[in-house]
Amino acid sequence: MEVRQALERLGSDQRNVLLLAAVEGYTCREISEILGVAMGTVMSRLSRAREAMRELLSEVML
Amino acid sequence: MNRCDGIRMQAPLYLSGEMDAEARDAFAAHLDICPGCAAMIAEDRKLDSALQSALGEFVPDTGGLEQAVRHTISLDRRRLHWTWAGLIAAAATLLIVTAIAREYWNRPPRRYADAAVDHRKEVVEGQPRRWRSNPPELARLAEQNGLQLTQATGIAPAGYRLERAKTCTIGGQRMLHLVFYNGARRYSVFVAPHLARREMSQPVRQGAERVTEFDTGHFRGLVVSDGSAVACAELARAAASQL
Repeated sequence: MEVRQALERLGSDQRNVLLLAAVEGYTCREISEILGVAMGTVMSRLSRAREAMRELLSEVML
Repeated sequence: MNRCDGIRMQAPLYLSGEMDAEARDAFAAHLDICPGCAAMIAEDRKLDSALQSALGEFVPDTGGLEQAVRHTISLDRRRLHWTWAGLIAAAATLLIVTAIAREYWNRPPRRYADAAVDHRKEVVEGQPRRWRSNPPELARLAEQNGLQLTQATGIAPAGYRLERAKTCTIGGQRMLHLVFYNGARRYSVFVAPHLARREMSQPVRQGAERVTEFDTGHFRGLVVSDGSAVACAELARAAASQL
């Protein structure tokens, strides 16, 4: 599975925070401000998104 | 919750460089003795690199995302305003805001403080961030923010070169953070497309830095420098003349 395909499998909440953090380079504080959600929410969405991506890509990437 | 659970929860802050020195050291010390957590962080870094490579040519529509989110929030607020509770809350808020506004009327906008804090943490203190520094990445980043790379490199006076750049949020607005270096001194320019045109502001002191704002009719920018007010105004004038 390719990175883009794996990304599409994520829910939009997780995909958005992952794109903002990993690709755009925003900090958790900045993402929290952009999305209007708590820092803790950003951190947990980001952790779950990375965990899901690790599992989806485990065969090809890691 | 064991130590590894706590590490996993804090990992996003470690990866984005948002931890203070003490927390970062404690986090790193745990990675030294825990192969499982160290492997997880290494995999996360690899994942982020893979995402950047895979999406390098594709600019995710996070600008649209930001607008959509803000639109949703404004709709929610509008609905609230139609309820009695909303009306009472709005009236109370208005009273409080009016009282506070009188006291803070002359304070500089929040974006000045945000820009100064970002410059201090990310440039002066050198906290790790995901900077772009090679020309293709800089060109792509500039384009994403409505600038040509030649415009971005040309806004500094002679002797300074564009060292690195990243996107950030200043006063709730997405801006491009450019860092210029002349071999001895660095200063920051924060810039974003903007349609208004205003006179350049007087330099304002924010902690150890000075901040000057300009609006060219196409771009809004903030210059943050540790130099004198005159020097900061000169840097802002140089930037505005090229945009």
